[in-house]
Amino acid sequence: MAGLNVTLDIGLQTLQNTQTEIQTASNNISNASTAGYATETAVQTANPAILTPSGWLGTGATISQITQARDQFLEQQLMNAMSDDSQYTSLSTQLTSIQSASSDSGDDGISQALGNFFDAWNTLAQNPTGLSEQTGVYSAAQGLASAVQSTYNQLNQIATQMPGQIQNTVDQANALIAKIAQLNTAIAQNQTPTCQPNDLIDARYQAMDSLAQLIPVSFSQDPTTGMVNVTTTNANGSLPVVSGATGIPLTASTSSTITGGQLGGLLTAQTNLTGYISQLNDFASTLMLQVNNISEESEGGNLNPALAVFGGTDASSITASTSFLSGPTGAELSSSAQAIGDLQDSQVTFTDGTSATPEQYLSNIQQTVGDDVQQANNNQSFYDSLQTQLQTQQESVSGVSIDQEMINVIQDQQVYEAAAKVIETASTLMSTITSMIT
Amino acid sequence: MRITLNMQTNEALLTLNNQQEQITNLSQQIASGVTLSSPSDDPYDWAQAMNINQGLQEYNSILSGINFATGWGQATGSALSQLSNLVSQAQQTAISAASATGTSQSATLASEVNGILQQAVNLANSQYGDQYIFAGASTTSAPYSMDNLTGNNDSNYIQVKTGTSDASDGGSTAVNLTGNDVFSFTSGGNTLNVLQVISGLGQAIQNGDSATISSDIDTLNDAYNHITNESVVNGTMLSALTNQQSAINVMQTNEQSTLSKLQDTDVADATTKLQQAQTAFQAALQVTGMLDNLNLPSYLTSNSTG
Repeated sequence: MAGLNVTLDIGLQTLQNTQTEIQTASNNISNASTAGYATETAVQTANPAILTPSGWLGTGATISQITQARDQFLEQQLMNAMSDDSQYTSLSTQLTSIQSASSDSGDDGISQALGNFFDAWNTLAQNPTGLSEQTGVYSAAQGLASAVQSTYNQLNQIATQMPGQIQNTVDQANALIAKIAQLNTAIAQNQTPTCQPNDLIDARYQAMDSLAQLIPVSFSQDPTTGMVNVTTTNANGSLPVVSGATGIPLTASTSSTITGGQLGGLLTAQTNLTGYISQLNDFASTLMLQVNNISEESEGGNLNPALAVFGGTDASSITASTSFLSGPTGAELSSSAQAIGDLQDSQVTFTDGTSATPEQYLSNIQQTVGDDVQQANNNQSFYDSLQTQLQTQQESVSGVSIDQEMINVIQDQQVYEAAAKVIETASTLMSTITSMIT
Repeated sequence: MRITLNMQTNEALLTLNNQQEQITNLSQQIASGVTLSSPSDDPYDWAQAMNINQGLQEYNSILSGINFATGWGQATGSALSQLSNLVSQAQQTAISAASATGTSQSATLASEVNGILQQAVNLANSQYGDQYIFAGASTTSAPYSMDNLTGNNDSNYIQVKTGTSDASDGGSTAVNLTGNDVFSFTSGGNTLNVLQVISGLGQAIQNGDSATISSDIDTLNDAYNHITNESVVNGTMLSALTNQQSAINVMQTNEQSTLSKLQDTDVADATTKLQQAQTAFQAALQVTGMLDNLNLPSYLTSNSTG
């Protein structure tokens, strides 16, 4: 009888085990496309055997724990790739909008206005006292001033939005840092030596992945408590942001030199933008200086600041005036018009030390912007594929394979049917014995 | 390798995205006709194209300068040729006056010379557009009148852009001859004025001053030669401008074709690539569609129902 009872017990436990396994498989299938979910496995271990006169007899199996498939090394690599990818994605997005704000194909934009400006002076040289030629110079100068100013304003508008975007990213990162610290606490409370809170761990990986998109992240796990310590990198090196149950939020000073992730991309874009604006200012101030130097000395060779063609100091404040027309004689105006027209293909020394014609300086700004965008795009597509590759590897370890789950379910189904058959058989045997007694 | 559901969808998404991007780029290039739509497409080519565009604008400016100078030069040329005719008429009149007999004939000849003077003053005030061509740089007001035969004495030249400023002549041409260039000449060691000489001839005929009349015949000969010389100077400028114009036209064409190479789409090439990209995209779509059936559950389902 003892043997039959044990058989019934084992059968019962087998039914329960297969139900747990089917539930796990069902949970896996249901989460097959859930972001951050790692496939779970019901780990079955053999029960201790009993010593009987016939020898050691097995007593079935138990589900000892539900584990999840994770490779911490891969997860870390994936986070690095995510940081790099989102750094160049945000850099490329920012620079592309900067590029279209400053775009100047030579057919339009500042170049065209610059060409018109020189053309107008050349025409004025032909008929220095002609009203329409004079008006032509003034309106071309105005066109140039407004083209420079509108490009400046477009760039400046992006520049004023950047700090807000950066702050926004820092706030998001800080929220995630706090969340990871909270999850650390919850995991430590729910972790036992044999059972780990898989869903909390999934949530924490997801939070770390999100954080990795904003700032560079590296983590290490404490094997006993299950908590992770997270650090990021800025110009001063490694910077701890989560230490066990404590989150250390980024401050204005620690976040301003972060070297990766979306935040790093935004910071680089900001630096680049400042550079473009200063180049535009150099262009405007140098051109204004060169043109004004000629026009201010047009009347009898004496310096007269009232004869300046351009007012203002840089790209933000450049304006054109008509006062240069009143004073000089026709002959003087003609020769200064010719000198200004000649600036079109003269090598001019710009405030940043570059020696180039005005147009070359402009096209060089465009080339710099274009190079930066191209580089960001190339990096982005490289890190995009790297990230996809690592994601594939990570999925291969942690993802849910529907085929595998189906095989498991079929296996569980067969085990369940076999165990039920054993119970039925044992039950028949027992009733045979019981009927012998009566 | 273990293949999971997300892997398949991620891969399919990446491939489809990349191919879509390629197709969008190619069709944009074909539709717009240019390969460069922003600096990042090719920063160096973009900058080159900008510089060439500026160069083309400068060439247009130069061509407009050449047109202006040519027009001015032609106006000058026709004024000079009429002027030389007038001088030679004046000379003929002087020859007739030298052998003239009687006051009535002298009066007729004197009024003929006055008419010539009147026409010469009109020619001295010739205009191109609304500019007086023999007025130096003071082109807005008439330089000569019957009361002012010496003119405004403005000796400035109007310099017009007819080349790039790195050319040996600084890229500019003086388009005008000043009044003094045309009307001042030397005869017998003296500097004289054509209009004053004609006016003096009229006086001499009126007064029957035969000595002056006969010396004026030689003086007018020198005046004629001087004006012919100035015509040659003007003609030289005009032919230099014609050469310059064809040179600029050639450069313009060269720059245009360079620009076209830099930024225009090679339609045949782009269309072929687009065709390839479309084929690849269709194949990728088909494979993605097949993924749907390639798993155990769908096999089991189709087996149990079929």
